[in-house]
Amino acid sequence: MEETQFKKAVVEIQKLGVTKEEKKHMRESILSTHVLPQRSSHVLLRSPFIVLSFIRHNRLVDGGTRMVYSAASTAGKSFFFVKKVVKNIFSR
Amino acid sequence: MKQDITTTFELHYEKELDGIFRFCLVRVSNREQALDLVQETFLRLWQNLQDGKEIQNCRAFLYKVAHNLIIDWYRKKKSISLETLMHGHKAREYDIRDETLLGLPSVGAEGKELLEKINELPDAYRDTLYLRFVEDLSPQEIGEVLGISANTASVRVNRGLIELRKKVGYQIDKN
Repeated sequence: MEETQFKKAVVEIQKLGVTKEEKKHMRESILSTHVLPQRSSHVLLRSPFIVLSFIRHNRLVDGGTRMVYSAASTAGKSFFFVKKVVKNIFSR
Repeated sequence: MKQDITTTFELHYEKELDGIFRFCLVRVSNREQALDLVQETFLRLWQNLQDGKEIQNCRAFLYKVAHNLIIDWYRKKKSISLETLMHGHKAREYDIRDETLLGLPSVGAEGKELLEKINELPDAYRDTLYLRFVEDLSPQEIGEVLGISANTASVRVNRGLIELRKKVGYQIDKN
């Protein structure tokens, strides 16, 4: 390997990145975190720990199965219980 | 005010997203986990902006948060083997395995080789070299990320380069 190969290798590494879809979802997910507590204050009163753990894990927007499992595990609740809470939050 | 915060966030998000993702990916060797860490990193930026906290250098701030999150993740994940305890080997802060590089399909052979060589370096040099040459951070910024002075960062870059040259077997310019 020579100097030019080093530069080429660096450029190859720099090609790594997120996809457009991931970028869009992540942005929406982050920017919506401040909206949730206001929109779901009544739910927050009922089950604060679950909702807070969701906010903390920032899993609410795309609501993927893996994320719901993660939050359920954090909150010590069942998968279906947490899924129901999330559905309630977003249907209002 | 809120518009300003959103604009600032968007600006840094567009600019630094790929770099932070790469930084996380080469450390944790798992795309999903890297995305989680990136999301958490930018969430911290968003929360700091909303709280009205002043961030001097946003780039350094983001890399620092990502660096700390990666360390936290490894600490949670790390299991200490009995063999390690019996032989008294010092565990590395990061545990980069060979499959790390296999999990980077979009990187060419030369890129993979360079990452392998950088990962073989001692902890102190690995991060400084990566941040200097791949992410193009200044010694001042590297210092802020790793919690060391800019001078120490420069020294580590120089010494790390000497080590890397020995491993790759050719000269690398500092610039």
